[in-house]
Amino acid sequence: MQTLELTRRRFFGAAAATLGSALGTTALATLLDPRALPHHRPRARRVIYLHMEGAPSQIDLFDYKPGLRQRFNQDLPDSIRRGQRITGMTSGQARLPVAPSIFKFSRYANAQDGAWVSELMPHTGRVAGELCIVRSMHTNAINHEPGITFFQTGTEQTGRPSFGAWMGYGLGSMNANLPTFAVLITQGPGNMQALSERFWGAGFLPSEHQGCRLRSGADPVLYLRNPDGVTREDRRRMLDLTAALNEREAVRTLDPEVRARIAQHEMAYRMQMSVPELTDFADEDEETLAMYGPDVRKPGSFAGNCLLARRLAERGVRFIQLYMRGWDQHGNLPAEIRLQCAAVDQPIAAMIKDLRRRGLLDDTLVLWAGEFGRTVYSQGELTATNYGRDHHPRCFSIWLAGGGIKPGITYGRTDDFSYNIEENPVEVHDLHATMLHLLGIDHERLTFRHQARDYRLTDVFGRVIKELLC
Amino acid sequence: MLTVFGRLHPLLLHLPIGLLVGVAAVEALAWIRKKPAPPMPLLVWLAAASAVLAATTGFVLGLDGESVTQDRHQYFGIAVAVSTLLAAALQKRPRLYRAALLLSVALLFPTGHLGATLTHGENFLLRDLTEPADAPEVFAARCVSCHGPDKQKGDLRLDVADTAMGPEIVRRLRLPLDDEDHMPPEGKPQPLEAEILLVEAWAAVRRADEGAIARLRDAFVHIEEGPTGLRVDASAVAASFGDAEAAMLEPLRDHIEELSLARTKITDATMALVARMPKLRRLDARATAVSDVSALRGHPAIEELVLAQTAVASIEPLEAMPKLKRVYLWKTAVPPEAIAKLRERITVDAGDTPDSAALETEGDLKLTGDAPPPKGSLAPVNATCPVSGRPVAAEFQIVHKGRVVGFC
Repeated sequence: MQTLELTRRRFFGAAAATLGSALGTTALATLLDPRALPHHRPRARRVIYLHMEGAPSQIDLFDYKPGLRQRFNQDLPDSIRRGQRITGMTSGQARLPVAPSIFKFSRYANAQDGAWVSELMPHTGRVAGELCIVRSMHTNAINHEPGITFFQTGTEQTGRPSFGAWMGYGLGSMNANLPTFAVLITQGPGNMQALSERFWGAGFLPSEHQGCRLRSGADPVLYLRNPDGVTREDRRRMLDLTAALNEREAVRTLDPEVRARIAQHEMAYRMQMSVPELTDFADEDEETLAMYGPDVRKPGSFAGNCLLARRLAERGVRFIQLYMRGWDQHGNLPAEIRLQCAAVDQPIAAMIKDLRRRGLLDDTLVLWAGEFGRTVYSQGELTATNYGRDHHPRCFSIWLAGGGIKPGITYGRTDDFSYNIEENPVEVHDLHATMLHLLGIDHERLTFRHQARDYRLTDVFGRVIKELLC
Repeated sequence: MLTVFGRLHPLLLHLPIGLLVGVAAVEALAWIRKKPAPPMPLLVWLAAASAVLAATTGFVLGLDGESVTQDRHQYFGIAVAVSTLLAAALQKRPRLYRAALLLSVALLFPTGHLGATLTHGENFLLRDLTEPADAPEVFAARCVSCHGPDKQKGDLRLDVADTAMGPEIVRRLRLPLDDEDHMPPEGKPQPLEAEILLVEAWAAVRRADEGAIARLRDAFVHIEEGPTGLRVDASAVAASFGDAEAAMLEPLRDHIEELSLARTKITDATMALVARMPKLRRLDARATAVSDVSALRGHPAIEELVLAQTAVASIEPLEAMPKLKRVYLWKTAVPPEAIAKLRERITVDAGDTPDSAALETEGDLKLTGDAPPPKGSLAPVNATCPVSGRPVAAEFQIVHKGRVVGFC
């Protein structure tokens, strides 16, 4: 599919052409072309990724360690710490006192002998039969920016495409009227860290695959609405003219970004009609709205975003990312985590139930994860009712549901201090490989040539974890 | 010049084969008769020299290509040359000489087989013994050795039959043999006319569909072409997709595996069309005006059926669907007794899945500090630092693949 001009373009150092521009068809085709993927029959068509930004404490939520209650205020043993370097935030502390969770855990029925979930997440516990809880996740990053970058793009260095962008690039869109990658952000009551736009960026992939942020408030998408006095017909004529001019430029330069720009203009035009219909909850019945909790009508709330995620899923959006900020409890953990969980627990369980009863959970992969875990020792003063926790990359808990994941199991085990992994470690690349496998993609074969190297989401790592698949 | 030198490889490789086998046969006969063999230094040295020359020309010939088979052939070929040289050098030590000869002859077999595979294609030995029955088998026999998991010439793989390439493949098959674009390349084994007809039939099915698929895609209906069938999803245009639009699926009905018409404006009329989709595995008719599924009675392939949020009242036709595994009936008019009865056979989700019960809950927590320190089961597996050799220090440990490794 290469022309002579393409080769000259490469020689002079311009960006390599994508399949889309080589096809020489309209920008629409680049959105809809299946590209000979999926590699095998997919179990999941869409992903809803609930990212708990700030790193929720696994010891207070899913990693049940009753033995720690008899270790209150003991020093963290060297045999557990194994020489791990302490972050600058706690290195000044004289001691590392063990802080057991002061929250009570319950064992909820699942396909094995029950899943322990703390009292902070009772709704989530009640859907434990659908969840696959992985307690042996580990990562390399110690701080939020590289940690989230790693989780989203497969490497701690910036500049690579995010998971959603890879999905859009590989699988294309199911609904041409909406973006393939939607991002919804909720500000949390707890300590918040920064969120960079490049977490949902397209990296070196054509920029039409980047995430589209749906904001709370009157204008879900910035600059979408026509200004006063400009009708839809005016807008159509303007787009036709610019598309014709851009098309000439695309043929002349073979720069894929020109086609990406045409595609995004067309997408914006269609979103002018599709987004208002999406964000208007008037067609939801009261019972469904009540299930998500009292905050569901507040724009930008996590409950409202979970309902929006379900609506995006049934409209065929491939990758729906929700960010819940505020889990970075370095201090004052018990009070703040109560507020965080109160904001997310009921909506998450409601969304799972809502997807399930509409037949959508079968082919929607849901992921709940932070960027790392939190330490067993207290950061700051430890009392019988208060403590903080520092960052802990060596082990943390996440869960998956739907889309071909084996429901109702727990996978992996940490030691008694929730500090090291004892069984079945899962690294982020393994998680990505497994998720891509469920989406019908061989993680080693979805690549993009950039700077003379075939990049992929899983870098040069990753293995599919068959025990998590049903 | 170098290229010509490399191309002498197919000619030269016959010399070491013939000489080695000949010399080895003489030695074998002598060993059986328990008499010493006549010394043939000229022949043995000629075998060694020609083996080295064959390996060298082979190496040069393989400089521009790359595949796993070629690498293996190369390693074995070099091994033949080395072991033949060894045999020549050991002629004065009969036992070692015979062992080296045996090794050289043994190595000839994999080398030769891999070399034949490079030229004639994979499975050359046993393929074509049966006639290929369909296009994928033709590809496996004629194409996959250069367009498969081992090599992807032109970035094309034909081990997974991608129907989009159909017309291009047929075009190249039908070009004159001496045309530069003709496939398979001149000099490689060519498919028989019967095989080309199989490929044309396979591509023709696609051409007939293509018009229908393009029309639907222009109407913003999502169609995904999987390896075994089509997946159709109308969610982008749900508000304007009715029975008339669903009729556009008629030409594709034999290929549709999954059909998602949730929230569209279809009615029971479309169920008649669905009944005539023999490969349909999953039907999503949620939140539509469908109320009567009797047309689906006896459907041979449907495994999953989503009827939630419809006015369906009778699920009696579902009893006669042999492959049915899973049904969604939330917010339908189906009476609970019928649902309970269906549940005896298959999984039914009527929006009534019970919550996971809390099997036990902790009592009041008591925080104490009196637990004994943990046992040292997490001690490092080594006592001395692998870098310096000095004793391991407690504060320099890492966990590697589940084990603790200590440093100093």
